[in-house]
Amino acid sequence: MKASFFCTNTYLSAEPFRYPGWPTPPGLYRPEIGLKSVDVALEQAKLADELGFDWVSCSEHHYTPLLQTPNAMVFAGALSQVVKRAKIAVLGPLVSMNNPVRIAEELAMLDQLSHGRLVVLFLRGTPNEFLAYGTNPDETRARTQEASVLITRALTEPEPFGWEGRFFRFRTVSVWPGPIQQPHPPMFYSGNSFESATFAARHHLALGVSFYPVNLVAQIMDYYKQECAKHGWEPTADQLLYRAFIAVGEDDREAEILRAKYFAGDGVPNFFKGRGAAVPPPSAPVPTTIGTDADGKNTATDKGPRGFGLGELRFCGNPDTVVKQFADFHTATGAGVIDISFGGAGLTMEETMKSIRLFGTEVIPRIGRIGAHAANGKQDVAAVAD
Amino acid sequence: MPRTGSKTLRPSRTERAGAHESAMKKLPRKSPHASKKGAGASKGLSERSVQADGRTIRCIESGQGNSLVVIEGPGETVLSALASLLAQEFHVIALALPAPSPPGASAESVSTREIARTLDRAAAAAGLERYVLVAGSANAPTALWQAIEGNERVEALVLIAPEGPVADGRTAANGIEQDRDLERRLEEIKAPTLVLLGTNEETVPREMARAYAQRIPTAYVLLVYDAGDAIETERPEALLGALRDFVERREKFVVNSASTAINP
Repeated sequence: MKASFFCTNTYLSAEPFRYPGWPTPPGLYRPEIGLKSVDVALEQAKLADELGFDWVSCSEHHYTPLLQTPNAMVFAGALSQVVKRAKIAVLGPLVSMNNPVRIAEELAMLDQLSHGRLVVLFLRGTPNEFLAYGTNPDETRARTQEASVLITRALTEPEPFGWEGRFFRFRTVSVWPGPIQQPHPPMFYSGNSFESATFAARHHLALGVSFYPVNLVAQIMDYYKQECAKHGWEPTADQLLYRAFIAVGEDDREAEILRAKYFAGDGVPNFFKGRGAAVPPPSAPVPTTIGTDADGKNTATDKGPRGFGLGELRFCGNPDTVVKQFADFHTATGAGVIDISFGGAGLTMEETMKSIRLFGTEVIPRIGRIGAHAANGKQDVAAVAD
Repeated sequence: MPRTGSKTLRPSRTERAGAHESAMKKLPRKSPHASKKGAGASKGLSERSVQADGRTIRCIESGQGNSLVVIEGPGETVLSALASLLAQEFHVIALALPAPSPPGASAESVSTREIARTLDRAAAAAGLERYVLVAGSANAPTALWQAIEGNERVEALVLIAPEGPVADGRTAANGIEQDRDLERRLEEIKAPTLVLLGTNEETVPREMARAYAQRIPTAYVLLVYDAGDAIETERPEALLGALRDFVERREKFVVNSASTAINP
């Protein structure tokens, strides 16, 4: 298995997180804290690279101190200069609400800047974020699909071309520079619904699933593999990506302390409140079925403190426990890459950094073999969990 | 028998499509799209024959507006789905390729190039000194030859999911044979050329777009999202919109002239 460090560039002050909703007012931003935040984020990325993480990732989110990366491409450009070995994973641009040609150009630049280390995932966005650029939520699935095809063609067509789409029209597309990786960098598609898994399989895109509990991840990844087979190909474990939260303690007692305070504060739930209430409300803490908020699925009546399954601390324990959790997760789902956020808002910086170091020194050396010999992504993992 | 490369005995892709073709032929001239555009102003359909090079060419006219010559498959007695669609916004003159000789008959050898020359003269006989030429799928090589042979008269060329010529010496899976002479002479085409290819296209290899773009100096390749090889039925609004813009503005169609002001 591979480990990806999700570099969130979180704002390092509790003040804006107390604001009860989304968007967070810009007036709460303090430049000196913003500077400190981005410096710490880049230091964490550098550390993750040195510790042996396979990828360092970022993703586009808007109007929130939770993830200060409204343009993931800009942040990835910075990452590419401090992360010397690991892949730079943009997981991803919100392709439903941006200019797809611009995204293709930026991806090509990032592949150049990173010397061919770019990985990308085409992301649809969370319901509240569709408000950022005035995108019609009902169109976002179709826009995401079309944009993904257009970006792929923009990165691979050898001659200038025009595009007559359903949502996008361009008369001249001729991306320069081109990607370093040929024919293009590894591409993932956000697959939190069956429809998206079908689309990804049809277009030979790898699949990324986020935050669902293991039973639903297994369900959708099995479905995706079946769809891939229909289209004549079989995804490798490296093409099955999962994003989740993690905390690692020296022992079980320390891990339980981290678990208890991990989601303190209202940062995550606030992301799904406020103007986001104009679109489907936040989901239950644990989604019970496949489907996204954007489709009006997994919405909750209790409007509980955790949305979209984000609040689940999927991996938590001492290093041995986490290794076993990774192995079990791989066995159940086939996922070969785990993109993990250590960013529990309730943790101190020291606790977060210790957690990152423990994962790097005690877990990474032991998860590399998981799934290494499994053609179908499943194997007996007892040997690696000892 | 016709020489290798002649298309006179070769059914068009839509003809080979069997039931699909039947369904297309039965399309009403005025589709729901037409009614939205006020197609009541369209001219009715008329049919006649014109003589060219001693041949009788069936000519079906419909619609009004800028004139388009559409190359139709041999033996067409009604407008194809493509021509019907275009007639919603253009004055369409559909020229049918000469019908193939019946099996066993003594047929003269007719090349695609000669057929193209004949169609160019048929267009003149139909009253068009200069015209925009449109062809789809298997009729594309004929249209390309026509643009070469009728260099002064073909003002613009539109190829829709064109088959052949095949790039880089490859032979398309559909059996279209390579016409090296045509490939060599593509650079002689002076007319602005719009090539439309569906992103779901499975018959025409993707290399084809590169071939057109590289060999025709005035070619513009337009990828039509979510369409296969029957763009006229899968994305009719996209096809009409692109042609409307291209026929009216030619090379300048690459410049966006639509206002983006929200509250001007």
